[in-house]
Amino acid sequence: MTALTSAAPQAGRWRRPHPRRAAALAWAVGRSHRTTLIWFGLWLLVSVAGMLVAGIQLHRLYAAEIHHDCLGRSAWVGVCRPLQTTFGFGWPQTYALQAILYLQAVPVIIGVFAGAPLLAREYTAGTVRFAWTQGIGRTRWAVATVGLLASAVAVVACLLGLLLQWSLLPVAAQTSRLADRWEPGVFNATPLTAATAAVLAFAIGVLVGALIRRVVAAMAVTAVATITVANLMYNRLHYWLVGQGLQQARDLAFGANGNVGIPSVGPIDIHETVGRSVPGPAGAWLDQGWYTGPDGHRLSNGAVTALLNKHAGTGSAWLTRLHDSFWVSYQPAPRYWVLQFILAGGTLLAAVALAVATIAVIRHRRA
Amino acid sequence: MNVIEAARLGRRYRTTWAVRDCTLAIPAGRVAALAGPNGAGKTTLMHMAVGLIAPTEGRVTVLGGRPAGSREALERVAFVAQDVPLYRHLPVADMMRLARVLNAGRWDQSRAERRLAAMDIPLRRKVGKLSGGQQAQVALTIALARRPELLVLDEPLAPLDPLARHEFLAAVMETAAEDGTSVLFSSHVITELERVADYLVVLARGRVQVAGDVEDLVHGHQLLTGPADGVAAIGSRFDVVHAQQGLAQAHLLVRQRTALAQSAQPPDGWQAHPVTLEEIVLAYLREPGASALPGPEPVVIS
Repeated sequence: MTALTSAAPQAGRWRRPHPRRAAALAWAVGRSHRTTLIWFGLWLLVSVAGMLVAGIQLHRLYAAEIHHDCLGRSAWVGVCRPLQTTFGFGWPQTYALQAILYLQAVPVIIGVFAGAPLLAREYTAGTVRFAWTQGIGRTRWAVATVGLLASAVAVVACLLGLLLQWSLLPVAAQTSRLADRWEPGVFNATPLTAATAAVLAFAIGVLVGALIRRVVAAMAVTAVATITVANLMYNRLHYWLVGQGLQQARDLAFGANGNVGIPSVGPIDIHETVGRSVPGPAGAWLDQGWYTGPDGHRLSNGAVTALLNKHAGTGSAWLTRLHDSFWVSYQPAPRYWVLQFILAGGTLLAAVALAVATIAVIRHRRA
Repeated sequence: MNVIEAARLGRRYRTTWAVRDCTLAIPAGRVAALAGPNGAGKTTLMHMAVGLIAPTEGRVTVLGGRPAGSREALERVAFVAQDVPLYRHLPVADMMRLARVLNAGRWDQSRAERRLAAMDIPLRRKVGKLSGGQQAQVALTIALARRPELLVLDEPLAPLDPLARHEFLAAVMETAAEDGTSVLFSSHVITELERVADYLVVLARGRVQVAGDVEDLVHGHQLLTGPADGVAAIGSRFDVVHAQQGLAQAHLLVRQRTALAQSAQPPDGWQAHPVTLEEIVLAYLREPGASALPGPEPVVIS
């Protein structure tokens, strides 16, 4: 448990600008980066339009399914058949996967095309020598520029995250994988995590631009850096050392699920396969699984494989018969938002640290 | 009050010193010219004075002891860089508005509008579409509208045609006279320096070679013309800055430090001629080892 406290601002040193002054500064930042903002506005418009159109279509189809009482029917017949076929095998599945992938790419796009050129272009054009010698001073100028644009980036990514979650609702309701809100692609693309990931990528780009001072080189390095960060952040919930729960899944044999192979050594990484078919508490995020024998000791993976092969197709009754147990470690459902805030908070903290480093670079390096 | 004070100031780029051991005090209310050959360190010195780069050693203050680059200094010092780096994609009107936002508090909108109208600069045209001279005028307009106490201009005349140079310098001089603004500007155009500057600083190889009132410098130097075989005798009586020696005749630019020396008659066979600022600057530029500072180092005549 960590207590958050707020410190009183240091008097005099960093006065909050007058609202009219702040508005004027916002105009100045927006005006001097208008070309970038226009391009991003167009990109946002296309993205929003695409997700809105897809989302409205999906919600209409979903409403038709509800109207005809198609949900939960195992037999696809009559009027439900085309609807269920569409959701099961048609464009909604493609859209869902593409949209999730797209949201993972949003921070990279923002870092490369908005973050990296921000200062690199000012250095290349020499306009820092204008901006930094004005009365506002280089630190305030940098804080205003980076701060305002980072806020805009956060709003944009938040909006896209919101649209993704909304447009995926009908698909998720009928697709076990997407129904799991712990699914890495979905977990990382909530309005909260999408916004902070975009701000971090933006901060990476800005710092790289300040260090390299050449637009194309900065964009290339930022692309590598942001893709690396995105990879590091994707599907890494199991590294988070927040007290996990442990449950004995007596009547289930997870290894019997054909989607998961038993590794040669170590526990089974359940987090790589999620959905309703896996054992564990409802709504929880499952991490790892392992088998124990009647004496409570962990069974070797070789022994488990042999047992699974022997009892293939017979369900999990053999577990009880042999007095074996299957265990899962998991994050309980109520911790979802804790982990959301941890991911978002950690990401934001990293972004702030990079922004501070950027200000330090601006303050101490020559123009 | 001194508008710029530098004490043992130095700036190194990797292994090369652009400015080194530079000690300087430019009094307030002057139009000071900074001259020197390419690579002498003029731009580096100016950049340190406006806070764009930090010194490697020593310190520089402006306007009576304010650290260069501090907020209180930036509010009072305006700078026009050599290549006039403005936001080229902005229309002139927006460039002005941007400058007003970045300099809230001291911005003189009517002065900016008057100047642009007088220069016939179209407000809707993008800065990048203006001629080099017009861009320089826009940059100067922004600098003047800030009502600075110190105006620093790095090679402002380079992109201008003769008429534009005249107008540019007239605007600078008008502001200096109206507001009492101190000016430091660097230029290769020595005739222009002579026309407007009342204080001169010459840099060579990153060190201050000459610093002083233009009037004092002009009165303190003479061009002596006489027989080539009499040069050694002159060298013992005067600080010779530069010697141009032929087979029969020699021309020596000499410095007379004291009023007594200035009133002294030239030796027999030698004729004294007054010198212009241009001749003084050129002589010092040709002899980077010579200096006109408290503690001169006359050239050794071989």
